[in-house]
Amino acid sequence: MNPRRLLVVLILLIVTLLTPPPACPAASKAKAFPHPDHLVYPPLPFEVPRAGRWVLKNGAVLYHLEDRRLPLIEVQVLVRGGTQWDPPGKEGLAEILAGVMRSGGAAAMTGAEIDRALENTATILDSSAGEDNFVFSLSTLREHRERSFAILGAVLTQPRFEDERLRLFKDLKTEDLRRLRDDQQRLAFWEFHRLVYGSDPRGRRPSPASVKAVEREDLVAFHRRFFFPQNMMIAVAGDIGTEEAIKVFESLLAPGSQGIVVTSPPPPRPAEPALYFIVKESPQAVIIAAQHAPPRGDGASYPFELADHIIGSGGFRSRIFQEIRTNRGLAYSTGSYYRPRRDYGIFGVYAFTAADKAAETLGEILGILEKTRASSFRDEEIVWAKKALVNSFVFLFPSPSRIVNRQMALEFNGLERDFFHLYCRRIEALTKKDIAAATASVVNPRGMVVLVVGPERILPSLRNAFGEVRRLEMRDS
Amino acid sequence: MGGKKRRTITSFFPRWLWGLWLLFATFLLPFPCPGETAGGGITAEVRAFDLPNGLRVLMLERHTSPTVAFYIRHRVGAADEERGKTGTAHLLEHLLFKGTTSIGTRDYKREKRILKAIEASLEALDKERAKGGHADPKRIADYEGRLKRLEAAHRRLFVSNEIDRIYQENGAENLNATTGQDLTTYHVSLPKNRLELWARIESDRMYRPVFREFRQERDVVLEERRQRVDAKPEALLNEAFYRAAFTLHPYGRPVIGLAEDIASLSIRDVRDFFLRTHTPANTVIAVVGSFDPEALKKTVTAYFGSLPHRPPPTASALREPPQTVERRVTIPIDSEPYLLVGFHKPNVPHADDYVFDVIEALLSQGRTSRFFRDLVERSGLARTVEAVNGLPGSRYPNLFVCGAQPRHPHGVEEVERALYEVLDRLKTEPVGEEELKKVKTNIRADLIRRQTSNEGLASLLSYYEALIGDYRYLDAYEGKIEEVTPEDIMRVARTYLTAANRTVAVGIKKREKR
Repeated sequence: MNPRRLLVVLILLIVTLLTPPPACPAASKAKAFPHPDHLVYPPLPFEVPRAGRWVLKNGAVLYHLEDRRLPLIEVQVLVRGGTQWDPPGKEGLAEILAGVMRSGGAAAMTGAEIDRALENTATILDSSAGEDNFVFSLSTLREHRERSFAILGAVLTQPRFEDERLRLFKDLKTEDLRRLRDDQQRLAFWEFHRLVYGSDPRGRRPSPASVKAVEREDLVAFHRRFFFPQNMMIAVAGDIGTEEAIKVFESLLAPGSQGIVVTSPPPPRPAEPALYFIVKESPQAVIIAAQHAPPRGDGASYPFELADHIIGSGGFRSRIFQEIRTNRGLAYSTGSYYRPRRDYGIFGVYAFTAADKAAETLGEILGILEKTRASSFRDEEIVWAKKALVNSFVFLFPSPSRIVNRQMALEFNGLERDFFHLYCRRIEALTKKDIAAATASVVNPRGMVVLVVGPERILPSLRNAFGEVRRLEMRDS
Repeated sequence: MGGKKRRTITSFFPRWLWGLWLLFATFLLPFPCPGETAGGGITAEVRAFDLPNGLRVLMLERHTSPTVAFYIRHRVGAADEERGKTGTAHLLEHLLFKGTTSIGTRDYKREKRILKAIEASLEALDKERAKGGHADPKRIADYEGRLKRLEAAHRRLFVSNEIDRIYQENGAENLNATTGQDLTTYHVSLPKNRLELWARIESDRMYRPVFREFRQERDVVLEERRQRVDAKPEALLNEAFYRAAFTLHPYGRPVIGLAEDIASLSIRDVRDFFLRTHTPANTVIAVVGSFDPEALKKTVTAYFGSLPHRPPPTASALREPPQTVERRVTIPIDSEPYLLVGFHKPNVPHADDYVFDVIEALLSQGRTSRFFRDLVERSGLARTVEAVNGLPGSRYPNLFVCGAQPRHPHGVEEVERALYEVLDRLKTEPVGEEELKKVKTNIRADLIRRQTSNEGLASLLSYYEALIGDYRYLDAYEGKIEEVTPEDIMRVARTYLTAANRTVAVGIKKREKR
């Protein structure tokens, strides 16, 4: 604490202790504390913690950070591959692969034996498939680490894909898809995903038919294609030394199986702008609109990150939230998002509003974007956004496992190793001109794909306000 | 996706029972101290102090990262609302983000006069509107016009959303507030050099809040209700379920409030509720992270010490009468079927509550749990089945709830029957040693994992201190769980998990175009 502040605090303290607490609020005299904007803070020196990086003999890359405070070890394995490689007609394959690797037995153990071994020792092993990765994460108590590591290694390299567990996973996925229409918000984002990506492989989504088409041989082939050490990265944090971590993952992942390291398909082409409508009887309408934006690490991604903060992702004071929620009371959830990926990015806006206010709300949001594109941001908005991004930076590294996972993700996503070290300086160096230029080149409300999901009766009001509306018919599942 | 959603309500299911499970895990799930640090446990490191005005403060130093997590909990929630005024606690929570007499104002003296006029105009307008068919349209138009003019004049005198702007600018994370049946919570995390900012803002809004933009915020909450309840079939079922289970006690009402109640809440309602309940003696603060406890104590004393002492509010005297026959509600919903079954039971710290925590874990924690094995995996009757102990709150006797989603083509009846078979086995067959040990081991590991986050610890410490008056519950808890025997489980299952004591809510799919 700043010594001058401390002095003030001490003086106040004495006053407080000497004055008996008043009986009612009216009797209490307001004490003048400085306005929050006038508080002065001591500097906060912060060095981004660095994890060690090793290339193992089997070709896998390992990040490690030791932390002995808790008897806990956390591992994350990233594997190149994922849902965008799902073959047409077998959408869902990557997700089923990840799920059944975890549940369907491995090496000498059945799926049921693995479940028991993990849960009896309070070990957590999760798996998932993303657009361009598979993620396996393990959390184990130190005392159970040998068994837990052995299971993780077996699951990654020798999955059994038991028939019953495969059937169960497919059955549950099918039921999940049957229930998709029950949740208006989920339905909206699900269908919007298809619209934004158009015919690109990233836009494919599973259906009951495509899930049904996935067979055991597909899993075996898909597993062979992606799961070999040169295609994997591993982050280890917690109660384990470097030497042991290296030894464990060199022995678990045999270099035997070689494959071709996976590279991403070309970036998706922007979809044709249009306004789509899906009928869902509900008191509310869900509105989503999006367009392409700069990829991660691109020069324009920094000014645009700042612009997005001001437009709608920076909390209550951001333009969309302030206008749509606070000033007009039109929505509880509303704002914008910017998702930069490896070689493209998506910028989007959304609002959940009373069905009868859908046209008004969409019009207002597009108006805010139009205004933002045409005129530059105010100086105080830029100062506010820069401070928010720079001051919250320390929260990116709350624990050893988050530190290693982030550093591994940098390399996985092809970003420079110094990304975090340079980040704050890059944000601070941005000029008003940079931000305006990035915004003008990206934000284009007339070039957006828009989806409204709501009751049929609001369709005329949308047509009235926006002209052509393309109605999407839902297949019955 | 869907962006950052602020102002969530804890005791209210945002995404069906399962979504909430994680959220509730904080509160209701087994949460003990690690076996490794026997004797002291994490709470031995906590430093607690009280201010003369009754404010209670818990501090725990942890230097994992240069950040600090702050939790403020008031011992008040939706269960303290009067009939007809549901939603007051939650609307107040929203309004406490609207600034204070010194934050967000350009000229508070002038603001105060206009705010008074706005309050009177809105009351007159609401009163006229409440006449429904007999309301005078001309009057309504007049009042609306006057209100709009006043609001426009007011807008020039204040700066909107200043609390959020200041916090964001200073790098705040985890900034949010929640309202439940039992408690109202304000939390935020800051870089460690900004402790004073938190004390400045929070002490001010506990003492001199200004309820600006009331009418708009009431509309936001109505929209929130549409988003979380009216547009969600399972949430509508949920409301019907609690309404049936609690005939007298406020736990039968929704935290967010009924739409007709919310629409007629006044600034006066909210202010009265605030003055009665957000008092220092009714408040617990927990601070966890990297800080100097002596310096923090001084800052807290300086800023919060001048808040006047006020008597604590009286708790609800309503007691739910014992249930003697099964209650059953069936409602048509715009979705695939759902099933909810709840059993009345005592709340924490009653000894049987611990046994229910163990039962909950036996039934639905993980792939080897009984519900998953029997209903999802073996028979394929259900897509999900979960058990949650202690809903919708824990300050009063509550429910042990089981929820299920049948898997097509199986119906609710089949799932309900199978679910009772699993419950009945608890009454007749003692739980095996290995299974019981598994549950207890997982309970221990949970705590160690929770210790990796400042927010998790601050949330837990303040929760138990506010709810049962002792944060050390955290450490006593593991011992209580260890003591649970197979006989306890049989006795508790026989006592509470009976047909006469249960409420069943069934959501069946509406037959119409969607």
